[in-house]
Amino acid sequence: MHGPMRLFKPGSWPPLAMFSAGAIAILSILPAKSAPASETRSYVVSLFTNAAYSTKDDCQGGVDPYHVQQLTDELVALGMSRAKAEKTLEAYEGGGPESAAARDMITNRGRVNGKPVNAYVNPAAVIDPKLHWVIGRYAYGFNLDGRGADSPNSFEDPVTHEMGVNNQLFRVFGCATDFRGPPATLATPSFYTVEWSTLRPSFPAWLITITGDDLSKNGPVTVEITRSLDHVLLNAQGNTEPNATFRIDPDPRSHNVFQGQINDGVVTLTDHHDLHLIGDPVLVSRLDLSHTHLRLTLKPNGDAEGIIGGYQPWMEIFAPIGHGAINFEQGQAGVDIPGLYWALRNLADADPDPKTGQNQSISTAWAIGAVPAFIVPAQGTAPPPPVQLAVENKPQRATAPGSP
Amino acid sequence: MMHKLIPLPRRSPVAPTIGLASACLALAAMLSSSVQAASAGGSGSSAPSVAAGPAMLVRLSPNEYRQIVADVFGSDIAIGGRFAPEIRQDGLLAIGAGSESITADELDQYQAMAQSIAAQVLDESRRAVMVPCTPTSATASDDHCARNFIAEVGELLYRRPLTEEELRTQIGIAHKTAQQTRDFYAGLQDSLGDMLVSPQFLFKWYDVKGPIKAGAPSTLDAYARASKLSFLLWDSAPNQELLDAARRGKLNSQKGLARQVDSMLASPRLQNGVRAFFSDMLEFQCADFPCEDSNFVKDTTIYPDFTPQVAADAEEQTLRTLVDLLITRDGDYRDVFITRNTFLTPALGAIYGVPLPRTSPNGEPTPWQAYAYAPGDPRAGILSEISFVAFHSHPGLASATLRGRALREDILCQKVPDPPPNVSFKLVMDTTNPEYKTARERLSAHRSNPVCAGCHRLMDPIGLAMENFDSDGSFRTRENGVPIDTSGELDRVKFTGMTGLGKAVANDPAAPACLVSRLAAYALGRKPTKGDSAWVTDLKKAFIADHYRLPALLRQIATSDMLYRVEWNGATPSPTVISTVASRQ
Repeated sequence: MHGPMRLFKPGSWPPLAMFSAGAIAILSILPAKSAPASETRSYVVSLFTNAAYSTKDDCQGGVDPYHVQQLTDELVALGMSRAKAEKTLEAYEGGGPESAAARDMITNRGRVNGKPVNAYVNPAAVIDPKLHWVIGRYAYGFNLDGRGADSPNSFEDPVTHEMGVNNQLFRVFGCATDFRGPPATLATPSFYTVEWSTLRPSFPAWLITITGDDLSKNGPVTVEITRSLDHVLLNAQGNTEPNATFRIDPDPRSHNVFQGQINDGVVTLTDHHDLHLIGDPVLVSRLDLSHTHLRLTLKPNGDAEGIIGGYQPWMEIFAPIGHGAINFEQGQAGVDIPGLYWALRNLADADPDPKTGQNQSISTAWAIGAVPAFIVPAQGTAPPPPVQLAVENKPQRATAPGSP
Repeated sequence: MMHKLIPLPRRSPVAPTIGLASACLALAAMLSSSVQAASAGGSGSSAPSVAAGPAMLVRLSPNEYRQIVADVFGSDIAIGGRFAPEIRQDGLLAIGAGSESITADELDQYQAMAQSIAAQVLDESRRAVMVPCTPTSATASDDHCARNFIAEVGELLYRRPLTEEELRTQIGIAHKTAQQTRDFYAGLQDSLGDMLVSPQFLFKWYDVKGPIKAGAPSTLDAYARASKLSFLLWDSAPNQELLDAARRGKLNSQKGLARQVDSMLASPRLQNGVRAFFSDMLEFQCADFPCEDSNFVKDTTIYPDFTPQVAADAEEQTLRTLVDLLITRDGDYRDVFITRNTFLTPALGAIYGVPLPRTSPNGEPTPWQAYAYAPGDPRAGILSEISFVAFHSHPGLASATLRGRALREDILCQKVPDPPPNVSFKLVMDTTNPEYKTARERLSAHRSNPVCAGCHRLMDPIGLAMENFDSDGSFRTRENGVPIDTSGELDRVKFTGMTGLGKAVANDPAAPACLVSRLAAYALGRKPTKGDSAWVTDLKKAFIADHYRLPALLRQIATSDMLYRVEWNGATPSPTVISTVASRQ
């Protein structure tokens, strides 16, 4: 149970004998063009996972097979007899004396010039196992390319029912069991949810501050998304402790200011420039979005939840999972990693490489949760300068080859 | 010097035997029964033998044990065991300690701790520092070097010099083990382990100077005075300087005693003593061993933000607040109920809803930070801290009644009768009843039962003023959607909210009077008797004259003859007899 909603109005902040200067400083870093600030709500991100609206029969060919079958098929594709491939997987799964050799065989299932190479370091050296892609109607997300219902391969958002939602990442992830979410499952996608929950006390927190005239009414707002120097505290249930205090990392690389709008308690952005956040190297090393969109609901209990999305370099998404190698592949993530590489590459839908034409970014939507927090500047540091607004008109985005 | 010899049956120099355990148990049981009979005001004692003066035999508290080990051997020595819950009597553990015996399980624990401590002290990495001499051979006994070590350490552990017989016994243990194991240090280790489970160490002995006669006041001997001073002011055994003062007779004169007390009051170790006293007075042992009405047990489904770290920090917050105000600033005791100065950690800041940035790298313990509540803030004084409002609440519900009772009993020294055994609390505990949405409404309905009304009138008007604080200590203004009414009354003084209550308590003469009574009882180790009433009254007057300064009060008590006076009424075995009987065990 959280306490009453925190309304950090200047002059009515909680006792700030020590930190009143900090409160003033926070207000001072707001962009000059914002409306006179009279109410600020500050949050620390408590949940970050792929936004998944999974439904029955939304995967072409069903959800991806269990990793044992997937790997068996891949070894067979390399020329191994099915009986031997099954025995290899059996040996690996059994954890016995033959396990190490089987593990090596699985790890080095890539081929370069016919020689075995590490499949997680060289995923392109593995024959595309063709993970299943989502073919359903719905996906959380945003109309990133501005083409609305005419946007090829787009979805309908299940909440706003906006058409033309670009979220190819959901198409990539959506048929792997550990990335699927309600209503087809009971809980949020387990991979990012569990990993984020596990790692969050050990990496700098992400912060969100909403400022406006009166956040109980519709109107313009300023949204700051920044990184903290501090890690989150956990409460007695292992969730993020609300009302903790976070110092803003003065590093300008993780300081983002957007103009937005609040309507009926839902905050959206009205400018969509780039967002840069440094994260945790194990899970989300960076969150670099272009055409950034946000839909954040400020809940009556003081928490906030919603989705954030944009076009994101797909290697940024692949790399942490690829580095998890066989442990992620058969443990936490439960997804074929070279298969993920190929799916991301094939479904990427933005930023074509000028030389190869290969799209380098993919449309995404990430689910976020946040709890109230105190946010103060780091002592002894100057407030970070706002990031310059990016050019609104991005280059024309290409449609990824191989999209359904 | 009147200290008595207690030649315990000795265990094997190499391995403990059942003989020692049974002997210690017998001794402990005897000590317990004797002490219970001897201690004035002791429960079950219809004819107390000691008419005045301190309790004569008092078991070391867990904290005293830890502090002595840290003082004598270093704070890096791990205790490596657990202590049994202490017994609270007449509002203080310090009084209950005079009635405590040692059970078989506790003896096992003491044994394990003694062996662990002795092994660490005589470990190769420490022995060069700990042992004041070098043996002629590390693989053989050396009685001369063993004597040096045992005499030096033994004096600090027993709080007096060892008698020649005690020394010979301990040297004998060291000698035998060294010969058997061909290891001089193993011999010292065995002897030290033996001293650490001896009653001379585990119990505070307050021996009397000269013979004691019925009806004729006597006084504690010099070493007992040193112990009395040290445990009162420093929560530990006397250091070498204090023992030397006792040896030279400097504690027997008022002038010498005062000089020593002033020196002790100026020591940073005074903070240990003050913390120990307030931990006792405020029932903080219930944080480690949850008591029925005072604990940090929370239903984390309802209060997920109340973490073990919050509980640990809450107790420390109050102790730091008290030490800062009363010792560092030499402030007025009454201000502890209204002060806006405190200390916080980020974990506490999250519950209190105040910004408190880290000042250390992530993953490292966060230093405490001084914090001042702003004027107008609903929190002020120690009653508003988690260590009070959350400590005296139900696991899933704030409790005006528990808070009111704790305030009456712990802060004002006013006993509130226990509830009748057959009373139903269903109405009070049911927060879902749409007719009674707030605690005030529920308690009002509960008081319609005349059996309950009398006592609740004592507790509820003050407890309801604290209703802005939920069971986890977080601030709230509504309960079940209804605004909370925090108007209250303390003995016909009306007020609103926690800050109003704090002022009312600060202005209530019962609060400082209670502190004096509690501190006098804490110092004596027993409830003050009728014979002490004039002394306690004088202490209260002096406390007022000294503008409610705690160091001044401690000085009054520590330099008072009453603290060291022993008077036997002849009804039951005298304190001397107790010690003599113990020695025969």
